[in-house]
Amino acid sequence: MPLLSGEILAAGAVVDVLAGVPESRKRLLQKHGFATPPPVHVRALLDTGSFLTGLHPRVFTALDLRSFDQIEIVTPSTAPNAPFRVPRYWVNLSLVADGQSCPMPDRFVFATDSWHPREGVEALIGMDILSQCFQLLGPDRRFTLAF
Amino acid sequence: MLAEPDNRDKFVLIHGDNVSGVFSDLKQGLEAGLEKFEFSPYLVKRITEHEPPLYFSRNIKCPS
Repeated sequence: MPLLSGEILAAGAVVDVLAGVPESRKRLLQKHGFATPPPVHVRALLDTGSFLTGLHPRVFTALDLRSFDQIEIVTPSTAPNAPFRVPRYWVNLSLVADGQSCPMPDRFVFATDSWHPREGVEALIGMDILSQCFQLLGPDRRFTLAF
Repeated sequence: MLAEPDNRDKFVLIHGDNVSGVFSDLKQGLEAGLEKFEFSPYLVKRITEHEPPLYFSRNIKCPS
């Protein structure tokens, strides 16, 4: 079982994420002789309070990905009957912590610009991913994910 | 699409104004869209009367 560990920072349990184009799109780009955009790095907070994983829109721009649908999202400040509609994307994600990388199957995530410039994170990893791994947050201010 | 009970909770692939297929999971629909329409945008959507909103713990900026 692959394990991923890291330090719990002031911002919480933060991992590095490499977002790339899905394998199928990579094959299509290669078939037409186009270069595959390199993976984009973002820092992401592990957040069991979010149902879905959200990444900064710059990630999808850099990867030249287009949204395939929109979904409705509610946040702490939205009325339940007035959800936001946000674009959803098909991406490939790898989580990285302490020099270890954990590639995952392609994911469906959404674009959101919810980040303060100085907080150092530009993504939340939500329960769509965290529900598929075991999490341990220890008193030694370290976290471990087991996939 | 909803009138056909077999379609419920499957995923429809739409390109322009045309329905291009119904798939049992989202990834199959996306793969089919990529194969048929390559770099042209397409929509893949669950066939359901109502998709419940999902909770996200951060506020989302209103589009300007």
